[in-house]
Amino acid sequence: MRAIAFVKSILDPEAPPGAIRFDAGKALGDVPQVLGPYEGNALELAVQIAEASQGEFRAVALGGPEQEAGLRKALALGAAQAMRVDVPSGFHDPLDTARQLKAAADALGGADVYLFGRQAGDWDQGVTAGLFAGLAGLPLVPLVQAAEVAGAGLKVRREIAGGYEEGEIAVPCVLSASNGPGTLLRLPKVKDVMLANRKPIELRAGAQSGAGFRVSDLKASVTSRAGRRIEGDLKAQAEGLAQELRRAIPGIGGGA
Amino acid sequence: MTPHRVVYWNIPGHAWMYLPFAILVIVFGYGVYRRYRVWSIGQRRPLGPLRPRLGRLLRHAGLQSRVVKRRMQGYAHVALAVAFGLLFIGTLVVMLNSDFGLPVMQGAFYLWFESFTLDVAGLAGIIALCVFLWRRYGLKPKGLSRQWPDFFVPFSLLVILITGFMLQSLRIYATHDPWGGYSFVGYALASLWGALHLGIPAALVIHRSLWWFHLLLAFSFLAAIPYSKLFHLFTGPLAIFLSEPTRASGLDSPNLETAERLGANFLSDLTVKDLVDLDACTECGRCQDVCPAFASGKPLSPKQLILDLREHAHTRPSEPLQLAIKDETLFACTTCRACQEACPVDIEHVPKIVAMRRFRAMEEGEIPAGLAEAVQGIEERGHPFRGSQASRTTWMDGLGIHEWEPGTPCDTLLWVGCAGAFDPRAQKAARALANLLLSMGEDVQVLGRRESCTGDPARRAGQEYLYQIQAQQNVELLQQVAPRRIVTMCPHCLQQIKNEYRDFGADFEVVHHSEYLSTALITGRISRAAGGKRVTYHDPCYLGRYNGVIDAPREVLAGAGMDLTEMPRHGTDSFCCGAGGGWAFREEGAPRVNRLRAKEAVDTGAEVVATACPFCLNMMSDGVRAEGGAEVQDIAEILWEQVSSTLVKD
Repeated sequence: MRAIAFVKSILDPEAPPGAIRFDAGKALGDVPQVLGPYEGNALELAVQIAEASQGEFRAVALGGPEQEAGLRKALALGAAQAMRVDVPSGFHDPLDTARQLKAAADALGGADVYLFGRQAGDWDQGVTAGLFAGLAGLPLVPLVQAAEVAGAGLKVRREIAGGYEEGEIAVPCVLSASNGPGTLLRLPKVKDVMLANRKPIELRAGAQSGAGFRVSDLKASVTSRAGRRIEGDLKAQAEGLAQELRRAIPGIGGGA
Repeated sequence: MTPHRVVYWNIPGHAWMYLPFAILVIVFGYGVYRRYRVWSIGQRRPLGPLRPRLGRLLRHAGLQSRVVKRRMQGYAHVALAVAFGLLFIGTLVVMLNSDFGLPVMQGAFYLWFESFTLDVAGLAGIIALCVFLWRRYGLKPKGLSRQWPDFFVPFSLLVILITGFMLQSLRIYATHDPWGGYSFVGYALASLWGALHLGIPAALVIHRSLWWFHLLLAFSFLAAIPYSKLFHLFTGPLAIFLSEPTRASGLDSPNLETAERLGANFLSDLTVKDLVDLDACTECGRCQDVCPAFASGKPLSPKQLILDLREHAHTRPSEPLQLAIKDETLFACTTCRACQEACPVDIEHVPKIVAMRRFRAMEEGEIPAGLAEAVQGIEERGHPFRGSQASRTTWMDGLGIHEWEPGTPCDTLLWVGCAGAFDPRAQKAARALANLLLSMGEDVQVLGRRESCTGDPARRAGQEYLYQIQAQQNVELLQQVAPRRIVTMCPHCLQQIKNEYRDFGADFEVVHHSEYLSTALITGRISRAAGGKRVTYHDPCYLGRYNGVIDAPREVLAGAGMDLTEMPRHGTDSFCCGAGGGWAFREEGAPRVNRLRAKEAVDTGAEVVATACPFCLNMMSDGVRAEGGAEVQDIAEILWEQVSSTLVKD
């Protein structure tokens, strides 16, 4: 089975908000680029599918040179090929992104399974997988937490509110990966990391149409309030906390 | 008449003893060869200067300085070693007399050495062996096993010594030896034969039979030495000689680009020293007794680790080490080195554990949860504290400390460390230290955004590749900064920059803040305070055991006017807080190591528990809180609290 994982490196989502600023459509800051958490889940599923089917997977990213961190990680985890669609860093319209990723996937010869993260960890729109599936005319399973090769298709577990559901899907198909115990990205072996650093990353010229939504500003809303110390013994503190929560979040609690 | 003794009296045909002796030599030689064959598989490391090694050999093997740390069994061991040393010399004297014709078995030497001294030695040996047997089978300490060889070895020695005395007594009895009183034990026993009315012919027959039994038992015992833990007679001193002679020596820094295999998964990946260590283990259990992992019920006993590796080395030497040592055992270690400090023969457990971790981490990508995320944090953002909302400089907001800028000189560089920068509790300690330095008028700078993790958690986790990248980057940066000295509050950073970075070209003056502050107190740059609280001090492993900094933190506490009460385990014998080896970033089940240590601290009745490591600060704070005990503070916080109003500026 052949898989393509679409990976995206983003500014470290664990960085303090104050360390990131927004300028001319770009999020900037003295913060490292890391592989997006859900793209990590997608990459893990790609590795698992390739291993289970004795197939292979490729990795594609869209953006500037900052995207190479994620692609190197994919290579270290065994990607047969890594490609970067070269466009300027920053926000990209999801439909534009889906079109360019589709063209890149076609250039790589296509795949049986296309894997996305459920949403990017930075712009957070969560629609690229769906748009890609639409462009490719393929079925989409969103929020996948586990996937197993089953015959010529896949047995898939997907996240739903309060639980999960399982089902089967024939390939080719598109999956968007979510976090779960089965999609936690493994650590690459050091020898593979060392080898990955020597492997080439294929560059494909990208073209932005300029159409679609464009981000012009970004601001964090201030929601924090000064805290209040609840005095008394442990029981009094617990009761005080419960009262505060009832006051702050209408509808919770119920009885006295 | 000159006092003397007829050698081989009553033993006609004694020359036949050379037949079993020849067998002994062959069996013994083969046993040694078997061991050597395993050692020769190991990687050879350069020995370096001999003098410190010889000094350590004299202290640890000659004077048995570590053995006697445990009084009862220690002194018994020394007594046994001296006794058998003397008895061996006594046997050589007999050989010189009979085989080389040197008339040494006569005169005062015969009376005072061969008779009196050797009787004292034999008696001391018997008492020592009885102590050993009573301790192992009477007291039944947890660290000692009670398998059949554990009984066989002391019991055989006891039989050899007792039969030796019986032979002596029969000779004295049968010959009416006029100098028999010098052999006072044999003489006393001889009177027993008289009381039992043993006939002389019977005494002669018993003596002759017993002589051959004694000889064959002694030869069998000698032949068994290379096949038993008694081989530590040879491997113990060898392991001591091959051990790293300085306390601060760290781990080796392999060239990962050229290494055939990353880390150790076969005997051939270990060093000769590692393999000698396996055969040097006396199974005394001291390492296990002091191990925080073992004490807290984790699946690691340093003793069993060595015994499992030894079993593996001698039964399936070409098989992977993974068959002998499980991952949960390897990753249970806190790398505190208490085991190494306790080991009488200087077995180095931690380098073996880290070498095997390297294989798991780098060749197989296996690092336990929590620690893996910390290592990934170092790789991605230069520190292991995931989820921290602080930046590298948040802790110093409003303090007036300057970040170093390229091209500017730097006198004192404060290496804050990741904990001081990102951990809320350690940030307070960092601020106290910065306040102290600034109050002294120090031209102190920090690297701020340029500072990155030393890589210590990655190295201890086995991720040597990431560690070496961090080390090289940090050394290059520090060489560019070229500070006159570096002060750090983190013993793990101290260990890296001062000791382990030497493999990457570092040669900086690095001091721990305890050393810096104690010097400032001595020179009067900080005035002493009085009226402090009752305090106990927890020695961080990487400061005390790794770097030998024991007195300086106590001098700081004394300078702060605190009244120090020691915990039972302190100094180089301190007990780990449970944070080392990457455990600061892992979930630990009960009983937790920090609770065990915190209880010791709380039991002193101190009002304040002091420490000098940001990781210990966190672990002890957590543990002491759970034990319902006192406040936990870094020594810098205590000193700052006590002296902030009376600081003497330059």
